[in-house]
Amino acid sequence: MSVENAPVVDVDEAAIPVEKKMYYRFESNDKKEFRVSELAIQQSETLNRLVEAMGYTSEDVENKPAIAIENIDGKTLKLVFQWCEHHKGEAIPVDDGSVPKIVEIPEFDAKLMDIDNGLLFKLIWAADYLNIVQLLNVSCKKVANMAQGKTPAQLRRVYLLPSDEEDEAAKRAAQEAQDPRAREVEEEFEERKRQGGNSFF
Amino acid sequence: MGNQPSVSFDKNLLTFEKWNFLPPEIKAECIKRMDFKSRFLLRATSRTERLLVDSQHFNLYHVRLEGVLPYPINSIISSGFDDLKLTILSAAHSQTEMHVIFSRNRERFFETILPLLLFILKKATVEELFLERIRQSDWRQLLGEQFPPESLNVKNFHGVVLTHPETMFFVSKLKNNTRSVHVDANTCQNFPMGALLENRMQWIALDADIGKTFRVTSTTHQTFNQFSAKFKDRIIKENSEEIRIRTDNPSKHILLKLAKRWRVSRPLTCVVISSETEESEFESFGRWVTKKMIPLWEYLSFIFTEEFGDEDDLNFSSFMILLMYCLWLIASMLFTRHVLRR
Repeated sequence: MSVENAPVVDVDEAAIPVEKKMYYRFESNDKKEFRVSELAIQQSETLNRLVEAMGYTSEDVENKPAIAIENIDGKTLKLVFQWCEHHKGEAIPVDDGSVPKIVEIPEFDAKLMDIDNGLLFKLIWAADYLNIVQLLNVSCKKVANMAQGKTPAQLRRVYLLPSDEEDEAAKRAAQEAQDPRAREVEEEFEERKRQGGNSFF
Repeated sequence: MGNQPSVSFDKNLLTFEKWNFLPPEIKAECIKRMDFKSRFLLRATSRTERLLVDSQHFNLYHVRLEGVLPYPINSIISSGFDDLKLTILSAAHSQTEMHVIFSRNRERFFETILPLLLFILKKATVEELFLERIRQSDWRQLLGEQFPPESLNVKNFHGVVLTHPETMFFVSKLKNNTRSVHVDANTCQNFPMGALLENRMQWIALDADIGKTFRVTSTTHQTFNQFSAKFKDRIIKENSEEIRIRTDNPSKHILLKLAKRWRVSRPLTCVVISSETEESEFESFGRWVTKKMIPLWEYLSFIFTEEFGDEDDLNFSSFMILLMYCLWLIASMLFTRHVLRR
């Protein structure tokens, strides 16, 4: 079990001499461990509720096993916690229902999300799963920005969108794969049509 | 959705090939953060994306369909399908999000402008919507049966030189949360302001908010008299230029005020006011006149009887534009006649 030294604890302890900071330990699905400050955890509604429900003391954190996050790997979780530490203490945006949502991507977030699409996909997924509103905001905005100024043909390439025909073909293939009998019936029908019969049923 | 078409990649194109693996709710979150143009163009890529885009309402600040001829020429000559301009502004004070689309012919209008407008009217809440009459066309046919009554989410509607049936059509389609309606009824001899407020807009029954406004230009005084007769039991004050009535809410009154200055078509303002509002506070209501809603003879009346006023967008340059355009029309007619004779 390795402890990830993500810059999640780079806090100048001398600056706050009186108050002892509370940290929690989390473990990714590939057994990587992270120590995250209580304030940073507040950015995630899911984790915040979880630690509140657990009611750990500082001793519990050290003595009990790290809290397992089964669905997220270490690489993604490192980015998530880096983001949470950087934005700790910031107000969580409230959805006022207005669309389009006006989102500015800060420089730190832009650098953090300068990653390959596979990791960006996992980061969006993690932000949604852990309910980190602002991280979901900026990561979705990054994907949305890729559409800016593109023609429909370019958009198909940007998002690798299948055409309606390709989509239909895929659905048919999926249906057939699920129900081989449907394919047999269709073949039988085609065969009877070829033979001139029209009374299939 | 899982299959991926084989396409050649533009090396400079930033791509996100994982899009199809995102669940619909996260795709929707991404779409919510797209600008208006991207959102509209994404609709054109596939049925799935169209359904996703159409599943969300969005906000637009300003949508205006108008003729390309400069004011005041387009107040005299209504524009056809071949000279229209659609301006869309996503947010106030954001020129970066402004889209201007020109319609140079009928095909362009029906293939581009109209579908875009229908998409906006169905899916958007529009802060300001300006629609102008289109020559040899009728908005009732253009929009068809796609909009049930009270389905248009428009905060401030401006109907510019619309015909009376078109005006009534839009008024019936606007939702009750519309804050202001500005229309002209120059084609209507008997604009039913009272009936409109009582039956369609239901200001009294719905206890409309203070500031809710309906403005209309009308060529006759019938509207004023009708309003007086309709609400005779509620009248607090009445004179030749204004009628103030009480509503069921003691804190609100409704004021109908005729434009102070003499015009051929005197604009009427109907507005919900606080019952404590003093007369001096609504003095300016009567000065309202819309751009492009005045007929030529009234426009000319400004030159002889009134000073030009910037608030009306009537100034010397607009008069010169009109004059030059008239001269150009005369010259082109003479030239055409000369060519035909030869």
